[in-house]
Amino acid sequence: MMIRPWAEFETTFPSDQIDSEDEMDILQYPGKFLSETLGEILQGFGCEIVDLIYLHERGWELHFKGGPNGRSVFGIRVTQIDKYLIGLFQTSWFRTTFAPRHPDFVSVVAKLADALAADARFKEVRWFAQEEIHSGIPGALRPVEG
Amino acid sequence: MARRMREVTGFRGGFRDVAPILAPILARSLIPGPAGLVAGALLAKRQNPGRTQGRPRDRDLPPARPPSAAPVQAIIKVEPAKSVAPTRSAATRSATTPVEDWLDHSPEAKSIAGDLVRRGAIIPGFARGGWHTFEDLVGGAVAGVKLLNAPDSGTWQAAKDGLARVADASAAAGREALENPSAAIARAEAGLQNWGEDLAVKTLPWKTPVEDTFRGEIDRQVNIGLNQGELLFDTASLFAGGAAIKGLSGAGKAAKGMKTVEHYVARGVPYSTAQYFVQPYKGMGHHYLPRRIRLPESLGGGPIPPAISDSPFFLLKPKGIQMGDFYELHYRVDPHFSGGRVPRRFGNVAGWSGKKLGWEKEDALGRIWYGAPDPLKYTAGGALGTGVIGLGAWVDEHDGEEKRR
Repeated sequence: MMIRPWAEFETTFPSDQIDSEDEMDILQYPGKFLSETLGEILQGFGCEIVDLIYLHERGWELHFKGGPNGRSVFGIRVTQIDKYLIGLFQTSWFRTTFAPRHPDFVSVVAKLADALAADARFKEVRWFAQEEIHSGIPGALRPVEG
Repeated sequence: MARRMREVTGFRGGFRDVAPILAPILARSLIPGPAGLVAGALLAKRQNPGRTQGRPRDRDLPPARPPSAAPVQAIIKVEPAKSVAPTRSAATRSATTPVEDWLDHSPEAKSIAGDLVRRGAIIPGFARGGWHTFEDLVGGAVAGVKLLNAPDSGTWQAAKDGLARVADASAAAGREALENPSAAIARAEAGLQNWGEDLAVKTLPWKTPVEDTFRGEIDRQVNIGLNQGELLFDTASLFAGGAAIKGLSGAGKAAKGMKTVEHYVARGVPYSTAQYFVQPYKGMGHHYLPRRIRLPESLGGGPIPPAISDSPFFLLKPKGIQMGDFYELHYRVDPHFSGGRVPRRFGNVAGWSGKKLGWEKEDALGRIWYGAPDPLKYTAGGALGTGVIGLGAWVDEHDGEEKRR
């Protein structure tokens, strides 16, 4: 089974980047509104939002609980480079190392992909493995294969 | 519970909260005999005023050793913020007790107590020497990390240039010594004399006059004892690689500030982004302890206190690093960091992507090593070293003076 937990897309959201007056600095990097929107989508299929953390130049990071028993903790890194780029991951080091395709994780990624595909606010959603990001590969329409 | 305590007491566990409490205790512990009791009592008395007023971080703690007009103090730069504090004599003479008045006028009391506190200060002074050497090591490690990471040939070249300059200077000095030994010796003696006089004033009690007040004399002797301890460390460390550490620091300074727009353009970075990459990094740094980690409820819950997570031991943010260097380092050690935006003024609305720039990600082991701030790397060597350096840092900050070197 192949899983591609990174997605790149465009949105209809207005930019929420905050610049300094002289535009020499970025006071707040973009992605807060998108993170909150993703949180609402995740809550829609039973996930519980843990927190949303601002990571400055690295964007925003949303943490949530999901899975059948609601105890698995996942994260989404939200960054805007040219388009928006989001990456889903398991916060557990053990699972990341020994169970990168844990059924709970695969299930959450697949559900989010379905939700984004069905939502008109997200355009040209393409899914990538980490090594495929910005490598010239066009990306997959679905994050899970096989 | 812990959070509630913080709210009620305003105590946040930071250095500025702990130092006023520890100072008298350490003074009593480190300084033998009655002098320790006297010094402890004086420190406790000095730290107490205003302690209950306002939030601890907001108040201006009185300096551990207020500025004085003594010659020893005069050769040491005092930070402007501290120099505006009322002088000891002005602040305390009006409230002098009969005992203090007697102590001020007793050369014997000042001599005995001064001798004791000076000896007691040698140990923390030794630790302070360790801290200063450690600071040099960390400063040098900025370049050290670059060298170990070997991000590009330019870094290597700049560091090699710096080392070559040091070698050239040494070689030139050697040649002069061979060609004109008498002149070289005369010059060396003059330099040594200047350095020796400066050192003597700082480390020999009879090189500076006795203070008018008992407190002033205690302060003077503590200063001298600290300097003696630091000198002891420096001398000892020469046999344990101290000189090499200082050399590394020099290489670090030589390697700083070397990246140019052309450097990045040559690496394939668009010109507008290169202009951004040469700016000094002003972001939050890389947190070795992920910010998503939460304390257990028994410890108050919530995120790890900034005093820990933002400390030099867990926050990777090398001094003086440029945007490009830091982004590359951050890209390598953060598996979820792919790139980012560039401020609008630089004209690149597409942002930058580490992958497109050819940067590489570290594996798990690399993330553990390269993602660790240097203080954490270098102090992870042993609890003893950490303890000594920690004590040195405490002495250094409490002392509040310019480095002896």
